[in-house]
Amino acid sequence: MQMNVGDRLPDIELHPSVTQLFRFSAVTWNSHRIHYDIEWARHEGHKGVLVHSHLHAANALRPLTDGLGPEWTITKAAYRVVRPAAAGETLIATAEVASRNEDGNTLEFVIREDNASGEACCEGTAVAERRP
Amino acid sequence: MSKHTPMPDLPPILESYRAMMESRIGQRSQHYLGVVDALLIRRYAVAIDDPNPVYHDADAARAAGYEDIVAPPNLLSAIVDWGAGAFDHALRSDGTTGMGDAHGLRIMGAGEEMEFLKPVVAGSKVFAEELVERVEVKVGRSGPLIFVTWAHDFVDENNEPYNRNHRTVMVRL
Repeated sequence: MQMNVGDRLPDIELHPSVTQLFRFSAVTWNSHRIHYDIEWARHEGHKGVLVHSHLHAANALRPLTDGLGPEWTITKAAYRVVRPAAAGETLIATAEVASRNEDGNTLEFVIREDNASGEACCEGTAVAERRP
Repeated sequence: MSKHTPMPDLPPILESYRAMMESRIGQRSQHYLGVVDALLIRRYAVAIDDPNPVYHDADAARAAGYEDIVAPPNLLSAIVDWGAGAFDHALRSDGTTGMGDAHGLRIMGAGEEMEFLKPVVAGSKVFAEELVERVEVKVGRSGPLIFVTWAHDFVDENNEPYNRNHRTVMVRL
């Protein structure tokens, strides 16, 4: 696969559910109630049980791991959670090539995870390298 | 490492938290976290709703050049507690633990910088070094916010790094 600046990997649409957030909490042994206890989440002023920051990150990296295939590996990523997302929302993860080295074997992407209104929930960058 | 000057009007509970975390800047702690086994990798992949075969099927992972099934990129950083965890009565009212004395404060993950240096495959032994790097005070729409950044180095038994991460958590009233 050869990619150039401005090329975009296929978007990934995600539908975090209450069950998914509970299971993500369980497997990461994260007992923070904002992720599975709707009353507590509302007590803290949130609209619902919140998507974990690490799940935002996993979502935002998904276009790379799905779209590039196993001959590539992600070597760096940086992200910020800029807007909360709650269970029941639709999220769209995107990745666009921002730069590439001369031989095209190292690609830097701008990554985003937006809500259905097109507002960024998570944004950042990721670097992928072709595996030897 | 830089220390941030506290805002003069920081509410006492936030100032107390800021001062406590700032006192920890530079203190390193090292832990043996455990073995990342195939079940943990598969469960994490299910929890992120990712059916990629290299996370689930050893043959597919080997065909892709890995020794065994491989973890999704941010598995190591996503696990909040690698041990048994605290008993219920020892948790804060919001269910968290291990964040310092944050009673009455709201905590959210804000972001992370991650360097992936070696794949984490089933059977990997993981050790971690943790360090509080910086504590910053900012003002958001809801009032003052404290950002605490930790460095986490995840390494194997030969000190070869899997990940080098810098994770920031936001704390507010």
